[in-house]
Amino acid sequence: MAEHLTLVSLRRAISAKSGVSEKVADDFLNALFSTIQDGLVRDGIVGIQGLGTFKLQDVPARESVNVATGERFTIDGYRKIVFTEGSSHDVAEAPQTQRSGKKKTEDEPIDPIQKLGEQAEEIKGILSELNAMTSAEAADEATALQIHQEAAPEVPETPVEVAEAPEVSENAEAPVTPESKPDKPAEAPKKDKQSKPFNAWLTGLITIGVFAMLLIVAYFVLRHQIIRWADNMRDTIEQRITVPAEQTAPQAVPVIPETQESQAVPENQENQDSQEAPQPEQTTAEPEPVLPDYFDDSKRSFSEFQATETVGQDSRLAWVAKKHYGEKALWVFIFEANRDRLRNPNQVRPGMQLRIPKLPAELRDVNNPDTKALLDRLSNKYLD
Amino acid sequence: MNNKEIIQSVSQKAALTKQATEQLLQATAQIIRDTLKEGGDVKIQHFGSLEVRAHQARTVTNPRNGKKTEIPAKQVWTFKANNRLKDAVNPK
Repeated sequence: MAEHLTLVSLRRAISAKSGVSEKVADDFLNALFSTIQDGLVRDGIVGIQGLGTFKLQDVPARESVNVATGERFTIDGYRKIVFTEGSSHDVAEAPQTQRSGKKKTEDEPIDPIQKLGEQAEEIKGILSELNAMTSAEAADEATALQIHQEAAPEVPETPVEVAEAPEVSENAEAPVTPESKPDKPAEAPKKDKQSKPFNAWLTGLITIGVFAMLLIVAYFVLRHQIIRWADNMRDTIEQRITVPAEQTAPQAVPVIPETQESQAVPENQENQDSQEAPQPEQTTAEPEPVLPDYFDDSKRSFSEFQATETVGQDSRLAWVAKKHYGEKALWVFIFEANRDRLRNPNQVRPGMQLRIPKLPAELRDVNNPDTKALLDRLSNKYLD
Repeated sequence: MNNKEIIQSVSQKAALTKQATEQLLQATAQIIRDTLKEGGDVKIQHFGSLEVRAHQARTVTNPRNGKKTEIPAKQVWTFKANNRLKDAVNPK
């Protein structure tokens, strides 16, 4: 059974197996073994696929004793060549693998697995305890949050409550009981909050920061629009303030301009009167012919214009009305006469051409209760 | 040094193509392996010898937990380097 393979028999076997001449096989074997030697010298390790690995192992120098003389001497260290069988597909066949395989199944896995199982059990217990503790804390924090919300003014409170839980709206009427409320709404957010109370706080803070950043960015991007909007708002507010102010105390200020205007444009009034004269006759057929046509919004139209005004910087309809009629409140008629180019009474742009209509004397009389009512109604209508 | 480097080097030294070298190397490995599996030995002149040695079954103790494990009897392949090879790897 013990077959001896020498260089010669190996050469023959190779030539028989691969169909090459013995000369080639010999050359090959010489080259192979000299290569392995070179490789060992160079790298200290040579792996041959399908066979095994030759490796150099250091044997350190050691002391020894000459048995005959009792003399101590050192044996020099050297490098020994070891061979480890097996590579990739050989491993299964190789007898050595049985050893490692058995070791793994018998020795190592049993202990670690048991230990891991025990550890897993312990960790589970600890985790469940922790969960219980954190849920209790989360509930406390939830109540704290609720109390904070209820400390806030009542106005925002009710929508918040309604949004969170509909049951709470019953209690919302009595804001004095903060302890009773939190229990109910706490149940809903509990599930989210209990596991990560600190994360919730962090997320809140981050969200607030992000919103602040967004607001700042938005402000810089939309600055001009915001400023314009603020101007418009201011105009509206001012006009709303000025209109009733002049209605309540009209005699004090407008008396002087009134007279001036009447002197300045007397012919217009006369013309207007003469033109309007036949109209009341037509309306006499109606049961209530009290008011002329121009008090009716649908019938009122401005065909004659006394001037054209170019809007200057920061000008407004009220100022234009004051300039031409001596009465701010009459801006509504200028607006009506320029409906084709003005959509919003507050959107008067610099450089815009405004036609200033001729107004009947009756409409210019701010003290007239009918006119007053009309102006009031119109200004409310156009500003809202 | 891995298989690729061996093939490259051998093909240069023996003036063979790489494919032929690889084929021959595989054949050689196969022959040696078969011989060893059948209990034979391989003696290469000026290189060394590969032999199969029987290891008896033994009991080992795990130093960590003191457990005793039986290692079954087995056959191992051993390599004994020729003196020339020894000298080559141990330059003086």
